[in-house]
Amino acid sequence: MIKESYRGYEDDFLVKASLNGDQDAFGEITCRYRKMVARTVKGMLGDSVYAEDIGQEVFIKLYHSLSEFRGEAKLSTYIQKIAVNLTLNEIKRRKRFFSMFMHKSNDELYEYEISADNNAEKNEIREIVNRALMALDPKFRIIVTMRMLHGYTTKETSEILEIPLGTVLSRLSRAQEQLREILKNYE
Amino acid sequence: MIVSSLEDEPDNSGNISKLRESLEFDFRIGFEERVTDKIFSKGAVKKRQDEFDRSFNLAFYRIALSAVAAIVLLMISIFLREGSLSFDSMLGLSDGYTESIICLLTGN
Repeated sequence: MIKESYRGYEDDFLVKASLNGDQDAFGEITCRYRKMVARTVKGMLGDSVYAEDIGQEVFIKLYHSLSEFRGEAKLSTYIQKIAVNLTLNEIKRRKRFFSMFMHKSNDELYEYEISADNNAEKNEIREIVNRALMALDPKFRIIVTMRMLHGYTTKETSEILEIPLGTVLSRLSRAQEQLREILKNYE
Repeated sequence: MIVSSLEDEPDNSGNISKLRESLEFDFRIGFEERVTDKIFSKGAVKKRQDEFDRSFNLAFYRIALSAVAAIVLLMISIFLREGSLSFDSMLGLSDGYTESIICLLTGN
């Protein structure tokens, strides 16, 4: 159970407390940013339990690299960068593994579960989006995840992914074209 | 709606917000506890130490092996060129080079 008293505290305070060994402070950071990380990781890897392992790795890596966090950027941006890097590494690892041992197409590399949510319309949208995202090349998928799932602007996306704004815009445009093609099958 | 959610324009109709709501991803209940358990449990600390030791040893042996292989190759090439593995031949001071060394040192 995370200490209630840490709710509402600033990120800087929580970081300092975590560095001093306060487990509850780090628990609050995890609680605060879990959904943000879930959107990135599951948006990229699919809505599955394997994505949770990566999600956990994000926060474990965050904890071990907190001393390197200078506070120049927002903590959310720092966490997001870790999430993006770990997810892209996982995608590369899967591609290498599956290309060596099996012949699977891009969207067969990922699994997704149907949510236990009873809302049929939500489930349908989620499944369509999952399949469409998994059919995209990872470098387009990450842009779409940032824009669609997080609602970041192209400028914020460029900052998080550490790629030029022009590259974000061109990949976004290509992603939109590909998505239109993919989503035609669901009309 | 899915493709238009990628545009930078303001979401006046609220459709994009609704789309994001239906796509709300989250981890299973108890996620924070599982994370803090992995980081702070005594077993986790020891495991990290063991992993570091293993990686360090692996790196050391890889570098040491490469260095030994390089030395062996060097000695083989010296042997093939000089015909022996004497101290002089390893330092490049065999008879054939004496004259050229003298020329180099005296400028003649």
